[in-house]
Amino acid sequence: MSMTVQRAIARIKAAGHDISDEYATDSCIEFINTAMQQVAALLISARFPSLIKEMTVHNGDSLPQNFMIAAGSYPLRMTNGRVDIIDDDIESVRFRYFATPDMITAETTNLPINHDAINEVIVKLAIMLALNENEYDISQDTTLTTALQQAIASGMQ
Amino acid sequence: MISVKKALKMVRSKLKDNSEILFSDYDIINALSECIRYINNSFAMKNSDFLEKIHEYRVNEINAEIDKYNSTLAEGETPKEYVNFATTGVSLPDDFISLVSVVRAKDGYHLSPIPAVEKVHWNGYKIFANKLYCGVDVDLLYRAKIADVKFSDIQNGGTIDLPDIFLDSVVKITCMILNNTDTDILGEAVKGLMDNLVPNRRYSRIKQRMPFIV
Repeated sequence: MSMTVQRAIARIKAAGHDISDEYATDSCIEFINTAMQQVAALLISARFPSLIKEMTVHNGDSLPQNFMIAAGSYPLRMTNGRVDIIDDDIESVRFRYFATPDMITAETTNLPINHDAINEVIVKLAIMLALNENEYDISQDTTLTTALQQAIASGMQ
Repeated sequence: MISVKKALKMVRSKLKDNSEILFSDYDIINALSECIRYINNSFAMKNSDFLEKIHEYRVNEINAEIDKYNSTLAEGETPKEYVNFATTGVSLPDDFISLVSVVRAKDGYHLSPIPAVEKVHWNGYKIFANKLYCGVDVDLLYRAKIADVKFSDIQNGGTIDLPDIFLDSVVKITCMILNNTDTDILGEAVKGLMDNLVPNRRYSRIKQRMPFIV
């Protein structure tokens, strides 16, 4: 089961010894979102299958939301968010692409990626962002998180 | 015949891309077409029987088609001209690679080739400027090229015009194309695979003569 947003926020608050409730929930959500986008970009560069989405494209359709890169090449020309099919014989294209996950909000229940270790990296990164904001020294945390990221990356090879 | 869908699945499996992450169907179809073009090139030099086709040339049928077409034209549009095998000649089929023989339609008599500068007569034919000239209705036996695969073949259950025995070679060459293999190595691989397969098929049906008389 995926990590709940509630739990991720609690961990960020706990890591900053936030007795005075310094980090508002909204700020924590922003930290999680930033961390999530960063991790998603890394996952996409490693061709992580969970981030693949699929849609049927017709001539003149808009690019899908959060589109990053196509999985393979398609007879499509993308211009300013619009997609045109370049092959006249083809009416529609089954388009598979990598997209970053949707941003979470206060109403979101779970983190979008269903993978414990990856969620761990997201929370660790969010904590680092939070601590960095209050000018803590995060060099040790950076090293640990990088090590965790590398461990996951080598598992995906 | 090799099913395009089956070849596609095998290519994906060989490339370890069943999740469709690295290559799209479009990539694979393009590579399959490229592979077929390579095979066509290598076949052009071979005596491969399974690529032989017959095209029937009947002057009346062709001119009836032209009549039908001309009747649909609006005023002012230029009508098509009638075909006369001896004087205007008739276009060779689009998939023509090389000639096997030309026989007279009514009795199967083999026509003889004549020099391009000469006028055709009743028992001769010439091939000139991608056209066939002859004096009578004929059947043209020729070596055809294999048709390209199209993107729509995946849904339509399209096939590649090759016997099943070529499936592994087609898959292997397609994977090499997708992996951007060096062209020289690729050329050698195509040559090697086809050199082994084509003669095997061609000559295996020959009835062996016993080395002694009983």
